[in-house]
Amino acid sequence: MSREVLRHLKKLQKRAKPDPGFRRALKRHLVSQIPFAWTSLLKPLAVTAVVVLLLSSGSAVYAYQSDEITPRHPLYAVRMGAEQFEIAFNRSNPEYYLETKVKHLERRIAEVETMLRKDDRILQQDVARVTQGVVEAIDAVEGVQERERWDHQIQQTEVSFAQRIQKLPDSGTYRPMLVEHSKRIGRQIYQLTPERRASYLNAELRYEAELLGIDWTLTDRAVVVEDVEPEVVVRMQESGVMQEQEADVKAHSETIGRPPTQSSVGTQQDSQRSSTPVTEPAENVEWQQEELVPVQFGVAPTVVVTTSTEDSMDELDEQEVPDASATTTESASSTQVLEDEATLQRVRVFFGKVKQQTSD
Amino acid sequence: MKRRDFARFYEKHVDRIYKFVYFRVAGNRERAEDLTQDIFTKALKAFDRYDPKISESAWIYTIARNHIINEAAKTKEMTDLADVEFKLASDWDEHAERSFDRNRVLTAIEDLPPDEADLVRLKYLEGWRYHEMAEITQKTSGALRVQMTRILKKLKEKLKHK
Repeated sequence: MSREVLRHLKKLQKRAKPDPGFRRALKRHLVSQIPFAWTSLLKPLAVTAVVVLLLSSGSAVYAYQSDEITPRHPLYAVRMGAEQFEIAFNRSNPEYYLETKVKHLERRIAEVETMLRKDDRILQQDVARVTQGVVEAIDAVEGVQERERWDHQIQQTEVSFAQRIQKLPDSGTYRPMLVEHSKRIGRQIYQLTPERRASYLNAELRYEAELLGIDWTLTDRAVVVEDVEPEVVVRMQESGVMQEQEADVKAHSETIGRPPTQSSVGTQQDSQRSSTPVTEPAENVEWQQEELVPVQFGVAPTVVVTTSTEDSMDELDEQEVPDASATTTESASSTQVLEDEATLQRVRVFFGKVKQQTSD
Repeated sequence: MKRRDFARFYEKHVDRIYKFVYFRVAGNRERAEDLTQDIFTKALKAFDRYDPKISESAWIYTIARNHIINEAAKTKEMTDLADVEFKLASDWDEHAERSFDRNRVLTAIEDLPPDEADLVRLKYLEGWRYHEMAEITQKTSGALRVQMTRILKKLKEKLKHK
């Protein structure tokens, strides 16, 4: 497929985003039509109204709600006091507690944004407040059910913040703060249970893939990186990022669900390891998709790259392609995660290299 | 129905549905917003009856698709989804904000057979994944990939000759 055509299509896709104001207004309009259950009076957002009622003065209400209140402001302590009340009120309900923690994290980041907008200097303790907010939000996810979704949201928020700081003109000044920030969050993540740790790291992987524009899905035993152009695959093979496992084209579904017999990283640094041969094709697969060139590397789970090709399709029969989904689960279930952290890190590096080769 | 549940559903699907509508009204943002609002209002009314066995994507897509067709059918001139684009949009040149090259791409897509043009829009303009498209089209992901490769080859040929 012509890269130029794809590029135009992607630009068109980006242009088609709804206006954020419209998006917010429509959501408010729709949600307001849903009857307000009176148990929702206990919801964290409703606590805001309670806090406002309890605050004794207009200036205190201002301190609690205004976007202009930053750590340098005299009323900042009032804001902190109100937030402590919110936490205490919601502590008994894990979901409300988590929502409160996430809200407070977003507030800490908004405070830094306000300071930047006002050309205030960001200090170590300002970044540390955000770090603490992330750490506490990660911790609060433990008590809820939809962990992966919350991990993803927190991870996105945190990465956006770090990138914002990195883009500052004098970002060198902030480097030690960001290093400390990352270390603290890393320590927190690694104190979690293995399941939660995998969940958070997977959220990080998904977000990185989104930022890089890499389309991928997770099957039972493979990470499938989709729609990589043939020339990118060739470049990656030539540069040693991937090792070519097969000269012949094999059907996509043949490589899913089969653990490799040996480990292989597919980088020049790991040239000491032998390359992993592709497993034998599944007997029940009859067709060969010539447009798919799967290349494997790595230990289980396998990483499979699929690509579209511009080769002529004339020789292919017009018959229906057998149902490949019978032998593979291509849907990326939101509950599936990569459990092997070493492989997860390797996939991250691989995504970066795919993007790098695609950009060249 | 809980507000939180619908809010989550809205956040998950609003961008894609907006894109779905946007490319069928030739980039007319005002019209796209109106139709998106109509679609989600319908979804809200039917939300309590939503069957979790159907994928959310397929469900909201069906609502969106039917609404687009119904809007055009009000004039009783046409009901084919492919024709709706030209009915609901006034003029690409008037409302689009893009370069000549992207205009060529869009025109080339519109020249494709309707079902093929739909697939290209779903995948490359609206950002649907193959497994989601499979739920909507009742074809397998594998079959869609094969079909898409042929379509893209055809598209490239069209662009070469334009």
